[in-house]
Amino acid sequence: MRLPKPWTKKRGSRMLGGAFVGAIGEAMLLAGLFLLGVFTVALMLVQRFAAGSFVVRGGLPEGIISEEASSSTLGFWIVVVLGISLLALGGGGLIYRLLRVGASDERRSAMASRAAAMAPSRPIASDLVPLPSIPQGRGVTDSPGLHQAYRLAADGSNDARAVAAAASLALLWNATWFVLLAVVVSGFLIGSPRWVLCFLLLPFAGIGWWAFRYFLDALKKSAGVGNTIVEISDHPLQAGEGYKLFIRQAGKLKLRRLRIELVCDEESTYRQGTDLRIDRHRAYDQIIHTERDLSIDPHHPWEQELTVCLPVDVMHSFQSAHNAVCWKITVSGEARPWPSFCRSFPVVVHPPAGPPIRHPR
Amino acid sequence: MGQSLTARWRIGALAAEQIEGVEASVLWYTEGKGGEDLHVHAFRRWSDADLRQFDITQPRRLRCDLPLSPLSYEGTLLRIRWCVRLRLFRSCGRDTVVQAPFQLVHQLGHIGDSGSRSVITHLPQRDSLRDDLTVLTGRLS
Repeated sequence: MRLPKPWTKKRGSRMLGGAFVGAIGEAMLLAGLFLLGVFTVALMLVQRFAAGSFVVRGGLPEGIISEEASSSTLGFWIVVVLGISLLALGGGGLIYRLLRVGASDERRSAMASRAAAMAPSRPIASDLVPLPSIPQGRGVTDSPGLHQAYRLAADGSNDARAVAAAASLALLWNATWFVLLAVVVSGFLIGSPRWVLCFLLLPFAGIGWWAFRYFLDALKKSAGVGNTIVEISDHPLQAGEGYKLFIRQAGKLKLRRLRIELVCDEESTYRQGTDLRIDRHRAYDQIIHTERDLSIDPHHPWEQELTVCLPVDVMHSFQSAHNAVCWKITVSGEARPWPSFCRSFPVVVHPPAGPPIRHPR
Repeated sequence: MGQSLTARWRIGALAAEQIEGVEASVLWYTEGKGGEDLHVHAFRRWSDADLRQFDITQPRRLRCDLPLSPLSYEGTLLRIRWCVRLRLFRSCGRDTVVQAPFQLVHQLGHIGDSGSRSVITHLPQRDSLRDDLTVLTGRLS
């Protein structure tokens, strides 16, 4: 096994290691910078503002913290600014890194284009489809596909939310731990150790380590599964019609099972006390394709062209304030060593032979 | 738009002087676990002055072109109902509501034909009697 070298000859566009390992390493470096910034700022603030209480308690040993250090010296502010810079660099970089996980360049480009096109404008009369209470699904047809007409946009990514939540937990907990560490270190420096807090740091460190491992696992899961691309020959769909699909699953995976389905969910939003709850029921489920025991290599993603046909008697898409009938194509996999995943790609279904569909392309 | 719906209504047991107004509407609403949604597709109101212009014991016609969606739906969490609703405002301050449900469904037999864009409606022949208000039958035009 070849160990990775910290520095090596530049190889142009070729990469020394995998992109996945790089993402993990970059995230760990940025998290380390953030925690170092927390420690530095906390140490300086404790020395400056808590020194008075230490003096009252046990007296400051001479030479540990000078009068200059406890007053507003230039050195104090330089270290504080340095610590804040580390905080901003580590925290901001980590957020940016996490936002890039699970989003392809094409998707980010499409999102940027969509944001640029959000300038207020009046809809053209011919664009209006006379189908009340049916979502128009304009966002679905924003991106052209390579193999079929449209590339479908994935539903709100749960993976990204899980990674962001895990990162927040790990950073907040470990930042708190470093603040407490700074207080303990300051206590030792001034000769007034805080033993209770010192012993509490050990279990707190264990929790922090668990939170950090949990964050790394979530990051690995999100980064390792790879992108899922679903393209469709036409949109919106109409009940009773057939369509071609192109599915592409990237990543480095060994899957026990990969399944592509066309599903229809009823969604109801209701209040229970002061809580707002959403209940879902699967009203229709059509397995388009299923495959067992397959391996996906980063250089050879799994690709398949499929056909899906909607029955003629199904309910069309529906959207109102509290209720919805949502159609989507789901790609789900039972993976190892990664946990199972399921990604949804919403589509809009019109009633059979509804109004003429305006094709943007 | 889809096909036209024509409904007829009359008020049998009350004099026009006892009525402040009548509202007729064609609407859909949801039933089920979620909060209720309601959308009025067609609406007409007759004030007391309007009601004195004609004989309310004789059937009046309410006509509208139905939309293509949402179709009637009978799901597990959600049901979409269409109805013609008549609300009668009485001089005593009370109001009475009578509604005649119907189904908005797609005409499957017409797929591919020129008429495939229309929506067939089925309004059950029904007489609803509540208090002194009668909603008579509705039918497809």
